[in-house]
Amino acid sequence: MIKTINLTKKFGPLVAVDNLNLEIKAGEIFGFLGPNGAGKTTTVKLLTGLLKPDSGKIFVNEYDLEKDILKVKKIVGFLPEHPFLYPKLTGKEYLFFLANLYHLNLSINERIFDLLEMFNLSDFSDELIETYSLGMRQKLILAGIIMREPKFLFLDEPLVGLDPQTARMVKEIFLKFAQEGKTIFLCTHILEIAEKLCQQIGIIRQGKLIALGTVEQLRRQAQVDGDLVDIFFRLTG
Amino acid sequence: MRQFILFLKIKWQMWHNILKRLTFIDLIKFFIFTLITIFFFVGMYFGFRRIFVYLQTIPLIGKILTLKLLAMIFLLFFLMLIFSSLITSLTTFFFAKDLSFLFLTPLPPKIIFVYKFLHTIFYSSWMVGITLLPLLLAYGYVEKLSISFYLNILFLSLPFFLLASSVGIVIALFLIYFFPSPRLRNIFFIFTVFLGGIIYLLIRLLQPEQLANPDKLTEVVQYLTFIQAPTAVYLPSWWITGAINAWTTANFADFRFYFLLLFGCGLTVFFLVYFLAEQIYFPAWINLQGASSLSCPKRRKNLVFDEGLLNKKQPILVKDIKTFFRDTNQWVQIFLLIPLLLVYLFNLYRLPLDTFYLKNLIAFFNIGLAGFVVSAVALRFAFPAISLEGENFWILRSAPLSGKKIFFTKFLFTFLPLITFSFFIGIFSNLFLKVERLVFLFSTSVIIFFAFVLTGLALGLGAIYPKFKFENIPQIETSPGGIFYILNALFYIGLSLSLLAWPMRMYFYQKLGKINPFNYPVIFWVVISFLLLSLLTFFLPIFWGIKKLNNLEE
Repeated sequence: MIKTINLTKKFGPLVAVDNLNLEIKAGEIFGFLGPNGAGKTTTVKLLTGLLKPDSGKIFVNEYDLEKDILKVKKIVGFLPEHPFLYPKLTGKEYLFFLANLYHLNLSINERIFDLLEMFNLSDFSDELIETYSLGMRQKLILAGIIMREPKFLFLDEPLVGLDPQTARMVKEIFLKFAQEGKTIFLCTHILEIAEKLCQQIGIIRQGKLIALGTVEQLRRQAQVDGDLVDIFFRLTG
Repeated sequence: MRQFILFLKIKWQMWHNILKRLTFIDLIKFFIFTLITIFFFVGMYFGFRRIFVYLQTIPLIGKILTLKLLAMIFLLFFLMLIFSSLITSLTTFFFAKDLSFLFLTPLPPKIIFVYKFLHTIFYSSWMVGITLLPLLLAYGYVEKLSISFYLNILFLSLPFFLLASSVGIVIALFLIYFFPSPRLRNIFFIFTVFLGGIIYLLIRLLQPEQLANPDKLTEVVQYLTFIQAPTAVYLPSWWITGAINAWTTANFADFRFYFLLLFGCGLTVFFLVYFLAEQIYFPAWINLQGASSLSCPKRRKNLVFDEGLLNKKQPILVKDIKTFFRDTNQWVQIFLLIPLLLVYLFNLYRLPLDTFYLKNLIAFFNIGLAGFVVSAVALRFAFPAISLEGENFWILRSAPLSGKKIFFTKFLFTFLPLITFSFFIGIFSNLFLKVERLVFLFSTSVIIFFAFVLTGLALGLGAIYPKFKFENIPQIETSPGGIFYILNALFYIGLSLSLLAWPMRMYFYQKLGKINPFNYPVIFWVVISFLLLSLLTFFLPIFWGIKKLNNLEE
């Protein structure tokens, strides 16, 4: 479970996140949507401990993020919008490095090769990451996250740069994760993806949560008959 | 500990990957770089040896002067290391690209701190380390010391580097912790650089060269007291000097004392810094993520740059001027340049030039020295001009702009300040040297001409060897392209001086009374050769640079 209580974050006079209250159950894929500059990335960074809130509380799997941050990091996977990768490591070396960093067990070797195969990176696994395209880097990072089997996934635009084949595969992985009881917090601008995958959707605008619920509930709130795109435009003006 | 070793393994793996994939061109560049390093190493060794041998010949006080010199050199090293580690640690601890990744992992921040701590010590100390080695070799040669001396002192230099770097790191930690706002930090940074420049200037104005001139001090006892007194006795610079002196005089009790003092303090300081970092490093980093320039006042519109003709005709130039003055790391270097220039001029002013011959000879060499200074300034400001576009270069490449247009805009931006700088250095250096009018005109004109040529050379080579991925500007300057530029600049200045020495010598002969000293055909060919050399040095890199810009691929 992910829970925030009156979460607030300010940057000078700007209130980036304003009294955010969320409760996301285990096994849920939660979509977090909003226009540019609404506070989505700030929220994700708060939930993963990369930013400190000005007020409010965050609980991840019953752990208070402020007090048990290291415990939280062990069970959380985060895919940022602009992820960093060591350019002078090969793809394989990067995954082995992560496996060692997170103290994964010995059978991880086989898992690494399976993941490289799954993401069509086997042929490039001995090439330096700096030679990878954007899509390949995105795949490698996803492979690194999935390898660890975290209980919580925070994803900021996870499908950017992915070819249709991989995008479909990744969506299936997310659904499988949720079926296994893992929680996914998904930020995306691709509303069709959010509509297909997410059980709950939150819409944020200018730091405030303006809508929360299933697609059907949002449809009623927005008083439109259309799809999530129509709902989104109605609610965000 | 296990995780820390993992980091060391990864670092080794990255280096191994780089080495495995070196191309033939990379090997050539590495070979040239190694040759240059060896050249400087050997030059420094012989330079230091010459100084130590000379000091040995001074009766009575030779050994004391040697000790004093060592103390002053180590004090200088210590201060340089503090400054260097402060600058480096700001990047490694707070602005490195891998930090977001590292802080996302379940690694305790203290492990990340230790990893970055070692990183900082290495990157801030390696240049001092390279200078230390020829110094020790020269000293050991003159004092006829055994190999165990070198091993022991090199081992002792580890806590010396650690202590100096720790000071810089602690300052950086406190700076970010208390001033996470970029604006406040910039103010502090500017103030520190300005202060550093003033201190450097003051040290020079104190005229430490009087150390070697006892006539300047009226009392012999006063002089002896001055040179015998330890230099900064409470600093590690004196401790390592004391250790060297103790070894030289076979006073191993004292050596053991300084050894224990250095290592004891080193370990204590390390644990203090480690403890401090545990409390404030992660909070400082987190605060930094939240700090924003949104609290800055709105920028006022500037009629010249925002709405003027300049913006319409030369938008790239306007963009470069704006970004230069908005980036503290760039324009603050001017604060470093001014004291350097003033010290250079002061050195010339203090030279005892009593004869016509000496005055004009130094004026001639001043052309070369000023040229070298201008080439160093061009390396800092002109060479990186293309590279500073960074990963935004695609904006210029995808615009309807030719490589020629981009290049000459950059030339306009860098040429004017460099010419102004060379103008001042030429005029004032010759004023202080009090040379004759003809020499004054000749020298100043050549220096300004050098600035023109060297700007073209620096920009051209900067376009041929751009480095768009960098974390700080020194990485561009110390790239293989930067080193290649400096070599070419030195070659051009050296060759130009060799050519210009001919007419200069004729002028001297004329002043010394020789009849018909001027050989006009020789002068003609010297002028032609000099112009041809300058044209080639200027135009060839520009031509190839523009070609490279036109063919640059993403």
